[in-house]
Amino acid sequence: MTESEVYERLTELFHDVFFRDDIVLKPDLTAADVTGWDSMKQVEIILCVEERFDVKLTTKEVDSLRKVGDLAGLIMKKAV
Amino acid sequence: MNAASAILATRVFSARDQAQFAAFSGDWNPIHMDPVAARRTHPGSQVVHGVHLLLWMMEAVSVHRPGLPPFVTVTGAFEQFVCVGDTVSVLLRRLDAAGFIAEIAAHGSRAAVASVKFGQSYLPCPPLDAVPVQAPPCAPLRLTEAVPLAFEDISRQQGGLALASPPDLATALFPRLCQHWSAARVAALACTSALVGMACPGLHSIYSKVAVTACAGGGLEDGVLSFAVKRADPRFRSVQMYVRAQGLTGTVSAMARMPPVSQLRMAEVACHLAEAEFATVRSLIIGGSRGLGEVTAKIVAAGGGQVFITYNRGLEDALRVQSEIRAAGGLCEIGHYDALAPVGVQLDARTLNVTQLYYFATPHISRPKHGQYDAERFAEFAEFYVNGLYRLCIAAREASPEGLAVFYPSSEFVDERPSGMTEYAMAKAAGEVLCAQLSRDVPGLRVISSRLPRLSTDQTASFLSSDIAEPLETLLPLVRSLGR
Repeated sequence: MTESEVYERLTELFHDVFFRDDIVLKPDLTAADVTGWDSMKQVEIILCVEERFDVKLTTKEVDSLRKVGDLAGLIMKKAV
Repeated sequence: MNAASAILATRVFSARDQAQFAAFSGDWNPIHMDPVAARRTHPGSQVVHGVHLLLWMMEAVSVHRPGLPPFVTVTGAFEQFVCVGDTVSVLLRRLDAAGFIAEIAAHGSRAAVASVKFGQSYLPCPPLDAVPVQAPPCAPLRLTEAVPLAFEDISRQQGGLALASPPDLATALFPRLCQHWSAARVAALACTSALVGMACPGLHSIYSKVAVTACAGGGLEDGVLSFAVKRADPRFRSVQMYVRAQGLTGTVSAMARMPPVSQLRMAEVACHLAEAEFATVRSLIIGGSRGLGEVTAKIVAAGGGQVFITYNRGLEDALRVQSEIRAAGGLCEIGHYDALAPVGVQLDARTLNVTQLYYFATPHISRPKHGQYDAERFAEFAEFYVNGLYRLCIAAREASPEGLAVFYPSSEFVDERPSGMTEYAMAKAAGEVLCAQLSRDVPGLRVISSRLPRLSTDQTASFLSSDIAEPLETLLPLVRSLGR
């Protein structure tokens, strides 16, 4: 899967999770940049990523995520 | 059709509203109904049912924008707690040919959102084998008390929940929505609240999201919401369930909360102490019915000291702590104390005549807020951490001829200042300054303050595991230092 495909699908996922279509995903985007991105939203994002990309993230990988780029990188590494 | 954000309705949910919705939905979870039990949860007070907010949003749109097409898919997300007494509004953020998005606004931010997509008509519900919910093997559940389900038991849960009330009650509460969408669907959606709050995850639950599709027919049994757990994830204590009822299929997402924090038992505390280590101590512990106050009471009592613990609303908790201390041979009295009220009318001179005072009075700390600084919130924290502390220190010193040592728990947040905790950190810092001043200016009064790390209490409990220290390790050296 290419980086642009991952970002395209991640963008759709974020729009669904936050019920907003104005969120623009960039690699350095963090939770602090998006209103309402708290720990519960983080859980929802992870679960949606796993379902939509058919990947499984370990607890250690989840704990290491700091920005969207980290998440996209993990997806590209794991998704077939 | 296109509409900019518009406020459709504003209200304050009352205890009566809670009772009415609980009777309608069957969700009597104490977090919604019992102010004393709710204070031991993350929001710290009674929470409005998320599905009540969702149905209110849909009703408001149906009232103010009549003639809309059928509501085919409904997604509701419950993002922040709305508490009884909060002023909340329904905002219509978007309405077009495809559907609408409505939001609940509370404290200047979004608390819940409803996204509805329109269709031309309701298609037949999917066949039974397309939605993995089986006919319940036994009679549908009619729960009167929330089940304290262990997380490891959640993944195999399935069955049926009887709708708590007939559909005509739905019509009384949500008339326009029922006209548009059907009373049966409204009742079934409400029943998902009982599913989460009473059955699965049950007592210790947070309803986070629902996504349903309205369809024609489709229920396994009349008047029953059938469910089956799709996924229970122990990493996050998250639960997803399939649901199915007459006219609705979909999924419900929830979190299994951690139960209220239980502190160490007396025997566990005692093994860390030397015998009769605190035998000469007479202590007054404000807020000793749970959390850090409870642990401190057990430390002093297990070391042979006398404790008088106070509670504000948690009489049962105070009695529990007293019972545990006395059962272990310790000395413990209890009394009501409101840190915001005058001292003299609450505690007599005999109670105030102590050698050590521990001040754990606090309002609920973590609450949603909007903006950088909230003056009202700072004033509330200051009333507890500064003014209340001052009144009590002076009164207790006057009643204690031998002199008085006081412990004031400050917080590491004074240094770290995490987001959303500005007012709390400011008030704690102001309390530290007061402590230093009192120690300097009041003969025979010694006030020790310490910036405590996050310790395991109801106020720090979360559904996510995190590194939070046990209180005993931190508090024991502080109790010892008060005796020196």
